[in-house]
Amino acid sequence: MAQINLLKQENNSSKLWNLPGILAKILLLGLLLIVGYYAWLFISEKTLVKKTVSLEKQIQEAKIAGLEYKDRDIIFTRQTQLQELEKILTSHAYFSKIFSAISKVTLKSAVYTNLQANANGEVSLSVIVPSVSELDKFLQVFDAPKFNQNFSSVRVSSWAKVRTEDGINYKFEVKMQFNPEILKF
Amino acid sequence: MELNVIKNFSETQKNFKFNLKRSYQFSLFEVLLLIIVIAIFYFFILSPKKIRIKDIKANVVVLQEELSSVDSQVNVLKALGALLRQKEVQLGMLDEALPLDNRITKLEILLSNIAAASGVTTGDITFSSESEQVFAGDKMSTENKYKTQRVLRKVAGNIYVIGTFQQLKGFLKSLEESGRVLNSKNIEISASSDDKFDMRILLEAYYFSPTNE
Repeated sequence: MAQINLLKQENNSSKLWNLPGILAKILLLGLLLIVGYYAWLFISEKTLVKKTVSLEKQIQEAKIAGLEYKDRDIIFTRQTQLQELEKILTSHAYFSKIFSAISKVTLKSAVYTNLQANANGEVSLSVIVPSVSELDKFLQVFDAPKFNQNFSSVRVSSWAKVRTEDGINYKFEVKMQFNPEILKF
Repeated sequence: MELNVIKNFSETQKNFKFNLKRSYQFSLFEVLLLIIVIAIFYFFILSPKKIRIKDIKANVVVLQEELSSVDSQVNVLKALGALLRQKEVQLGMLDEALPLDNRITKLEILLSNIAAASGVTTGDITFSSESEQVFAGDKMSTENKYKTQRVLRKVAGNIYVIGTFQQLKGFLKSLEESGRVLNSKNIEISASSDDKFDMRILLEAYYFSPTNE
């Protein structure tokens, strides 16, 4: 008697082309990989957080070591002392240099009886010359470009005749501006 | 015949089980579900984790740089400390140029010595100072000399000397070149008697004093 197979027959051709099955297997594999990657990230994060805490601790310790360094206060005091010294040295004026500068613009016949100079670049002189023409020559010197670089804006006030050992002379007051760079080192 | 039926039935059972194993197939719906699960996992769980790790890594780099910077600053501090101990002479010169106290007497002694060395005669030396200023015995300055914060202060004074022009010029030069920084603000020279001249100088001296003064 022939056997009757009551079971549903498999279609052999569907085994060869089961697209959803293949896709599902690939996707399952992908999901596994992603989960594995996540686990690796989780471990990495823990490691990095530990490293962060360690670094912060090291930074704190280094800062405390710096603050507690025994010579710290001396170093900072000396540093600021030096900085302030450099500042005041930039305004340090060598007034002794003004004498040679003035002598270069002075006639041999002129005699100074009074000199006043300040750090703002103003100089006042009391000058005695033998005659008015010498006074004129004295003033002409400052018109030359060679000399008015250092001395300019010459103002004369109150000249008068005076009697000196040499006879009658003329005394006058001169005020002028001088270049403060003359007084620099 | 019965035997054949039983035999066939058990064979059929085996075939049934074998076919059950081989016949489970994923449907498109299940594939779609998998894709959705993967997408959700990626965008809502994995990506935020990646971003967080990226931030932590960036923070680690910043902290490493900060540690390196702090370490180098501490090393510089230690090197400066060692250098200071070797530069006693230079520190003495620094204290001479810009003292840490305002002892007026030291200033007047200095000016008198310069005048004597230049050959000029000292007429008068006057310096103004704030009243009630402590010149000696300040415990805070003695015990915590370097701990207190300091500022630059100045003291103004007048000096009147008499001498020949060359002597006065020499005196002025010595003032300008002295170890202590003294800035002349105004000079006045006038003829005196014989070959002598009078010189008056308005002077500024400086000191680096504690801020609580």
